[in-house]
Amino acid sequence: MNRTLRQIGLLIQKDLRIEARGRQTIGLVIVLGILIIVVLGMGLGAGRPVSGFGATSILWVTYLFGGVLCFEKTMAVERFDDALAGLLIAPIDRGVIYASKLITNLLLIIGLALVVTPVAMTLFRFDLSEHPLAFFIVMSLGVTGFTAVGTLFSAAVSSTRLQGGLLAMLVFPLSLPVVIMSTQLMRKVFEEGVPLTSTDVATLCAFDMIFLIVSWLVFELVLEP
Amino acid sequence: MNRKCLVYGFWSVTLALFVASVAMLFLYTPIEKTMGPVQKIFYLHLPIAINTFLACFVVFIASIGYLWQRKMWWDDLAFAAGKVAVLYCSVVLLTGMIWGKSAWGSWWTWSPRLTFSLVLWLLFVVYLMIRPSIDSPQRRAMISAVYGIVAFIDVPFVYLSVKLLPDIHPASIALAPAMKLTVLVWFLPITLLALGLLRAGYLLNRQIRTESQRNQNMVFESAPPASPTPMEELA
Amino acid sequence: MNGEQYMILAYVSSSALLWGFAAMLWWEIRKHGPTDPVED
Repeated sequence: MNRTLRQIGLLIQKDLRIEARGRQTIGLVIVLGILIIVVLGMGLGAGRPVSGFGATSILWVTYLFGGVLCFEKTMAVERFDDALAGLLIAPIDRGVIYASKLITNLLLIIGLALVVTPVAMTLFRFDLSEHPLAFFIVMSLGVTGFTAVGTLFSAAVSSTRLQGGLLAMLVFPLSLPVVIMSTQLMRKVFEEGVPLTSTDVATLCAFDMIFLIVSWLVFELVLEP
Repeated sequence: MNRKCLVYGFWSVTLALFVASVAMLFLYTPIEKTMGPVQKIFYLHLPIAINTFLACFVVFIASIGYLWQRKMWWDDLAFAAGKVAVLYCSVVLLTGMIWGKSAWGSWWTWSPRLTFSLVLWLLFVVYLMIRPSIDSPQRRAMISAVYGIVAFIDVPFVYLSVKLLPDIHPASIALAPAMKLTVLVWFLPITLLALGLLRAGYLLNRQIRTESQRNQNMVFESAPPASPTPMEELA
Repeated sequence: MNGEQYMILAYVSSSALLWGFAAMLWWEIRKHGPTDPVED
């Protein structure tokens, strides 16, 4: 157990060090997120404050597009110099590779969210002060499920020549239930004033758990040099 | 020859049952009191919807089969089932939208059931769309198999998520015995049609795969003989 | 349009979709000729 954790830690460190040296992914993704918010702001914001319900949809657009770019980049790192072959030969379980890629992707998306969410809140005058905790729980559970699916398919797609757009095509429809669930829960919380129930949280958790387990099981079959 | 008779027999029976069901719908089935004649869409809508789920289930099973055995015919079966699923789901959406237009006056409302059909349709349309963009047959089969499995697991969550949308649908309709009989009769041609389409699509996929393999072999055979290697020249 | 016309529209368009797809498959299979067993 300790050994597995150390292996995961090492792999994450490796990915983050590559990221820290170039700062390619996180910078790109944050700028993309701000661009999306500006474009949406032209049409939707236009002087009116947007409720927490609208906020989730707008943020989801940035998270989805930014997330897919993160997934592509973290797997593309392994494509250079056949790094993936080395990783596959190393005496580690494939599940460890999945876990490390998942956590790296999560960290990148959290980085994206930490910048983009406040920007969106200022530009759209979102008011999350009524139920900040519900917003945080729902969005973080949703992003986890999205990342679980995205990490799985990034490994599958990175071996094919045709990458552009394919990953987004695979991941967006599969993430629709989480997106619908979180926007609708936010509508209930912010517009109808219904507090978040444990059933809602449990459903989101179940989604995350099932997709984590399935991805972990299937990842081994998907990862081929 | 015998097989050909069987195929023609199957399709004639299916077509005849379809025509008979339409005749039954117009001549025998009573008109529902509160909703009027538009309620008759239901007799097509329900069997098609249930067969959509069955087709999605076949995609799921065939995808698991492919990952387990790595035989290409599983992939052909999954692809054929995916086509049937999209076709049937399109009909579900179409009939649902027409019903909605008649009942509420708009072609689209974000009601849970319509949204559910739309998301299901999107999931499996993407399944068909991604396939041509992957060149290697093995990788295509592998990625679509993983997608097929994950998409099927996604379906219950889509159901749970759309239940959070505000609903204006009638909860349930009490059906008179004659109406129940009509639904049962409609299940026959719709299910037979699904099976026939599945089999035909599967055969077509096998044909295409045979042809592409034959072409590959021809490329190998017609390639000019390799120039003698130094070792052969020495010999 | 009244309810009955909508109902007929639904049945006509659905039948056209279903049987149109069946005819397309039939046409494609004929175009490709008979199948031989292939080895995977």
